[in-house]
Amino acid sequence: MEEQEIWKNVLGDIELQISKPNFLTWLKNSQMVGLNRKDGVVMVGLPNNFAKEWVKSRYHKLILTSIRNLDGSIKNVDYVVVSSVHQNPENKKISSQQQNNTPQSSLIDVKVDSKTNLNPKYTFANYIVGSSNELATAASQAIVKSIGKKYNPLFIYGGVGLGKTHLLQATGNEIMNRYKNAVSVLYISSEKFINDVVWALRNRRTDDMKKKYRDVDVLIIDDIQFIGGKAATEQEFFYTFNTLYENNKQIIISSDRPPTAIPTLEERLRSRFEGGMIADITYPDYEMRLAILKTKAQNQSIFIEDAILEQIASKVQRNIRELEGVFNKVVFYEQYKNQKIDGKKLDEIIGEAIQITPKNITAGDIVRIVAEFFEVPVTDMTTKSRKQEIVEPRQIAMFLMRDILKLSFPHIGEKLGKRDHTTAIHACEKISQEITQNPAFNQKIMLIRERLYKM
Amino acid sequence: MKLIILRTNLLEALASVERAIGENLNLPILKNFLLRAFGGKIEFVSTNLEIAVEYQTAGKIIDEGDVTIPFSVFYSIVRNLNTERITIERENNKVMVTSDNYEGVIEDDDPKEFPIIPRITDMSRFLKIKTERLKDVLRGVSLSVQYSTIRPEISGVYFNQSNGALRFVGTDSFRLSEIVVEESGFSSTMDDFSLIVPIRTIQEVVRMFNGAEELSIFTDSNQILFESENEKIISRIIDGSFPDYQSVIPKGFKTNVVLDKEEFSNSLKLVSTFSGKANDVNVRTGENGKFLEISASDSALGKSVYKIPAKIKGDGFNAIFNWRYLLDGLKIYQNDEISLNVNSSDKPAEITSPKEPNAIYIVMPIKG
Repeated sequence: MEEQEIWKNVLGDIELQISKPNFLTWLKNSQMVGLNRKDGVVMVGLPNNFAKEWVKSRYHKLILTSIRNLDGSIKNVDYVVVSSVHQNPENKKISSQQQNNTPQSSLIDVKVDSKTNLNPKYTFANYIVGSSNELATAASQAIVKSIGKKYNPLFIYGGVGLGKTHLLQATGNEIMNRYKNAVSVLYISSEKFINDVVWALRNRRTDDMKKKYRDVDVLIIDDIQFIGGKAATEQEFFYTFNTLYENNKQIIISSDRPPTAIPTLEERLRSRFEGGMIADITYPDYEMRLAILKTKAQNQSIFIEDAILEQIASKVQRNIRELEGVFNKVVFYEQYKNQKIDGKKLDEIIGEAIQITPKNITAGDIVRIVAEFFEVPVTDMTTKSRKQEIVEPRQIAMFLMRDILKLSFPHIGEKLGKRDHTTAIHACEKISQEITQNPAFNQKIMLIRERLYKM
Repeated sequence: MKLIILRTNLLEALASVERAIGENLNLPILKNFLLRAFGGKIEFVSTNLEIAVEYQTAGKIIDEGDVTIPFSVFYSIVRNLNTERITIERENNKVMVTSDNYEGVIEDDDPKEFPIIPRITDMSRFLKIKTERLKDVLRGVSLSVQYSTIRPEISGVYFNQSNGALRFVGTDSFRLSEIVVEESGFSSTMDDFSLIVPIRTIQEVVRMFNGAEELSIFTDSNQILFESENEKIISRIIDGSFPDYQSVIPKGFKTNVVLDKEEFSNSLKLVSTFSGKANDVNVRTGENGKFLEISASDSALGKSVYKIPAKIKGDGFNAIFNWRYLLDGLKIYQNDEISLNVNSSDKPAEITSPKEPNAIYIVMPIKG
């Protein structure tokens, strides 16, 4: 049974047993916020401390009995305060109206431009360029100079946290700065685009939506891979794309993988994406990571020893967002807690910041995800087949089992078709070597890892 | 339960718990207060499920016990009685209020139905501060706080303890005030912390604790407790992160205008008669740098201009402000001499007082 489903049933049961006012006051805004199957503990979220104290002391037995009737494996119920449960939508309306009427400008939230959706904090000036993003940056800057003429569409792809959004927004901001109001820019995430399509279809306002997207000079869509498989959205996007393209309007698109690797994308869209310029952003090398850290420190006028920055740059390799996370933590410790950071402390911080949570991943998941990634049948992974297209996925699965789950070599061999432990050793060595030598291969492994962690 | 209590003590207790008497159709018991008499202590409790107030007072306990009494009925009885000593007794689910020549009987509710007041488990760490100082500071910063809940993270006062100082900040995103209590002004055994206390709670704190010299503050992950010797208020804290307000405070100013506070405040009130819906008044520096000109005009009403003598340093400026916001900024300061610091007509301006360097008020001009 679904978690929320269980709780709904429990509430239904309890509603019959206690008075209506009591139910409305104490339990109406409750929700189930977690279920730990291992210990059999249910976490129930309540809107305030009063409700928490009351429910704990008066209704605990009722709740426990009721929940155990539904699911015998649950042993206990715990309560927490979840303040977001409590909302008052009426107040919101009034004050937002009030605020719109005044010409008073505001101190704090200037951030996002409501017309273009661009966040001014992303600029080319604070975008670090290295070998990993050189091409994409050059293409973006060329676009700023001649909108719609040079590379259209521009398709940028790369893994999570490598700076796609930054580059896209910087391009938009630069165009706005250069041409002021002569050019209209619209930045949008594909999720927002999908929502707009759904909204337009539901309210029969497709004309409004068409106007919004087809009247711009530069359309920037982030994370396009999400529209794959959503037929109506793809179709709408296709028409928008064509209209803009025919009128020589600039289109910039980003994705976490190249167009060919978005399996659910329609052929006609794919071929259009490939018609322009495709540029990738790969993992930053050590020098670039160090440059990012140093610029960050300089911009915030913070002094951190070079040795520490070098260590961070060498240890955090996967993703710039994590790099910034670790950097911010180090700054926090040095500035606010006045703690000197040494190698050991740094390792601790890195460990905290980069939470690789393999706890839910099983050997079976690895086999399945790897097989899905290479589009080979899961059953083939454990057969004796030594066809090239199955050998590599199998070796990668072995490598990941070793690397993430720390399984023993004999165990790994056993899992993948009763192979000898030496086969597993060989696979792991071969893959780790390939990773260091072949960046494209490394990227493949990273994508698989991402899928595993996202499960 | 039976006890005898002096009318004056009773009135004080009722005035205190009145702030948290609730109006809740689902839970009528919130209109009651809880009276507890145990271990020589008489305690009054009320809650509206947002905050809870507890008040301790002296009296003679004859039988221990507890009772809940509808506040408004009880209060109007006590207010109109004119005898010193009042006896409160609970018997057979009825509350008897008696004095020399009066006897009232009130139907009561089961005390077990009264909400349980949440506690803070770790009472070993706390912060101590002089009551009047805290109340002054809270009065000052709460003027800037946003009252609606459209952005919950600024609908309260931000408390921050770090680097040996205690900061209080309020903002509604148009203006912001910060008052710092330096190391000597408080003592704390708490780790550095920051949290946001709802403005409604702050308003009650400012009205409570009359006569208490010192307050203790306790917190846990989602609530805060203010406590004096005989009075307590416990409230939730706002879940959210306060904006990075430090970055909004300008580092320097092009123009610095030193003024008399009273005169500035009078001029604003006078000129404002002609200001429009946005409360806009025009503030500009005089040609010779000797005065500040405040003016407002309305095409239907007319125009008014006020010139205040001022010491002006730096460039001249011409900006539009909400006069209420300027006036609120002046209220923070006790001193007569204040300084209005301006960069340009579209950048944040600042009101400070040279003799009170621990307070800052930032205000955004109105777009011209």
